[in-house]
Amino acid sequence: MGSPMMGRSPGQPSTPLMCVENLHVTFNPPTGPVRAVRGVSLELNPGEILGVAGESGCGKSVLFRALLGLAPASATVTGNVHFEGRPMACDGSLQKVAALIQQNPGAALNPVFTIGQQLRMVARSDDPAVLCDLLARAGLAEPQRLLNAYPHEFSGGMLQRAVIAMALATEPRLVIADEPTTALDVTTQAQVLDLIEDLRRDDGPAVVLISHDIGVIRRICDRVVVLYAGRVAEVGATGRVLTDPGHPYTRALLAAIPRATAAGGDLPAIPGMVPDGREPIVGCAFAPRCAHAGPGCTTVVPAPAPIRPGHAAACVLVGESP
Amino acid sequence: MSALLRIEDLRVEYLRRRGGRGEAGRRLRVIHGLSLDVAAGETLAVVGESGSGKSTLAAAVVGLVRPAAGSIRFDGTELTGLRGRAGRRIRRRIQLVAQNPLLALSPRRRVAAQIEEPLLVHTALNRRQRSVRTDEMLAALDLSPGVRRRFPHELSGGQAQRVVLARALILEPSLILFDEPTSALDVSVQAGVLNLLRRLKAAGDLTYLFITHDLGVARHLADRIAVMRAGQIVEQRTTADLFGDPRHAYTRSLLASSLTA
Repeated sequence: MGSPMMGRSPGQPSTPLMCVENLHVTFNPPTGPVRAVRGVSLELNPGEILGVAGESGCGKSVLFRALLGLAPASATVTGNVHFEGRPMACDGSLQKVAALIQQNPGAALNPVFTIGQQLRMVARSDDPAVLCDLLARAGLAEPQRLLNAYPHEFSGGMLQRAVIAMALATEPRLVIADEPTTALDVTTQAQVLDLIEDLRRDDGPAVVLISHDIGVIRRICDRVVVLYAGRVAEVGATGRVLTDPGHPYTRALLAAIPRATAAGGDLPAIPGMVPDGREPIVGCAFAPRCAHAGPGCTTVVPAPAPIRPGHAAACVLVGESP
Repeated sequence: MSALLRIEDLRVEYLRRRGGRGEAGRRLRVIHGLSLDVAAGETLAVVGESGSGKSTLAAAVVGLVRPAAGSIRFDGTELTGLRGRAGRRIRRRIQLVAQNPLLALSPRRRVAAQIEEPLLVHTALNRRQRSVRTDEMLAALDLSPGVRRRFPHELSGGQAQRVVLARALILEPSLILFDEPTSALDVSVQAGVLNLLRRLKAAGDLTYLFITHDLGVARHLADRIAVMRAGQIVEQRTTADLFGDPRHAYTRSLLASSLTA
C-alpha cells in the first residue's frame, strides 16, 4: 500500500511550488451562473504527490483545468495563484511548466500519427535516442520499435505510458494527472501508479493526482485534499486523513467502499447528492447529507479547523466528540 | 446444488477482418473451453481483466453472440440455437444490466416508456396495467414517481442505473447478468445500488451473475467467485476460500494489485 506516512522529500525548501488562494470558478451558461469551485485554497509542495478526492461534480477537474487556463472563455475565474513564489494568472501560463495526463489516453493521442511523430512534436527533438529514452523512462520496452507504431497498436496501459512519456518530454515542474488509471485494469493500474510515483525521483515534478478512487490515492499520494461542492472539506497527510478522518464527508466516503469487513451487511451509502452549482449554499455544503449535522451547520461556512499539524477539516464538529 | 445456468465447454470466436495482425488464422478465439455453473439463488461474480472475455460470456448467455461450440443450458433448456417464440419465452427470464446506463437508455424517450417496453414485447398487458407495473417498479427501486416523465439526461448516474434495473426486473426474471453495473458510479452512489441489489435478491427468487473487475465489490456481494483469464475460468471458489487461499498464480497477482479488497 505504498508509503502513506511519507512526508515531503528531505532537503526540499519549504516554499510551496504552487499556492492557490480563494479560487472561484463560475460557469456562465444562459440559464444562470453555475459555481463549480467556491473558494479553494491549497498549497502544493515541490516533489510531492497530492491526491485530490471527492465525488463527481465536486469540482476536482474544473479546479485544475482552470489553473491550467483550460476553463471555457465564458467562465469566471478569480483568486490568487502563486507559482514558485511569483504571481500567476490562470491564462494558460501554467501550461509552460505543467503537463496534463487525462483519463482516456486513446483520446489524448492522434490516431493518424505514429507515437514517434507525436513525441517529436512535444520533445522538440528528432534524435531517436532522446525519444527512446523518454519511452524507456515511461517503462515501455522496445522503444525503438514503438516509435514507428500507431496508437491503435498499443494496449490501454501502453497508451497511458506513451502519454506519460510525452508529459515528461517537456520537463514539467508539475504533472496534473486527472483519473489517469480509471480506464485501466487493476494490474495495469498498479504498474502505472508505480510509474507516476517514480516520476518525482531525481528532482522530478510534483504530481497532482485527481481520483474518485480512494484506493488509488492511498497507494501513492503523500497528502490528500478532499473536495466537496467546490470547497476543501479536508486536507492532510494521506495516512492521517484515511485512517483518522476529521470531516464527516471523508468518513462517509471511506465507509462506502466495499471491502471484506462489510461483507454480509449493507454498505453505508451517503444519502442525497452533491449540491447543484446553480443553487446557493448556506453554511456547510455537506450538512443536508450529514448524519452529524446540527443547527449550527446551516448558518456559517465552517473554516478549516486544525486536527494536527498539516491536517485540517472544514467542520464545526472538529475538536468536539462526534 | 441445482444449476440454474450450466455452461459447458463454451467456445466463442470473432471473425477478424482481412489484414488483421496477430494470430495466423482469421478467427479470434475469445472464449475457449469455458465451463461454469450458476446455482439457483446464488450470486456468482466473474472477475478478470479487460480482454479476458467476461462481457463476451454475458453476450453469449443472453444470445447477443452465437457460440462456435459448447452448451449453455438455462433451467434445463439448451439456449444455443434457440430461436423464435421458444427463444423469446425463455430469454425473458434472463436479463442483462450493462455498465453505462446512459448508453442503455434511449436519450429521446421518457423513463416510463422505457421501463414498460419489455412488457410490450413479452406480455399482452394493456396500457393501464403496464403503467401500474411501472409504478410498482419505481417504488421498488426507490425512485420517486416524478422520475416517470423525465428524460435520461435529467437523471443522476445512480438514478439512471436504477431505471435500467427497473426495466430488467419488470419481467420478473430468474437470472440477471450484470456487466460492471457500478463501475461508472461514485462509491457513495455505488453503495446505494449494491445495497439495493442485495435487497432485491433477498426479496425475490433471483440469481445473479455479476461481472466486475472490482474485487472489493465481488467480495462484498458474491457467494462464489470465478476468475477468468484469456477466455477460460482459472479458479472458481467460494468467496471466503478464494480470498483466504488463492490457488492460481493469476488469482494471486490479481489480489495483489487490488487497491480496495
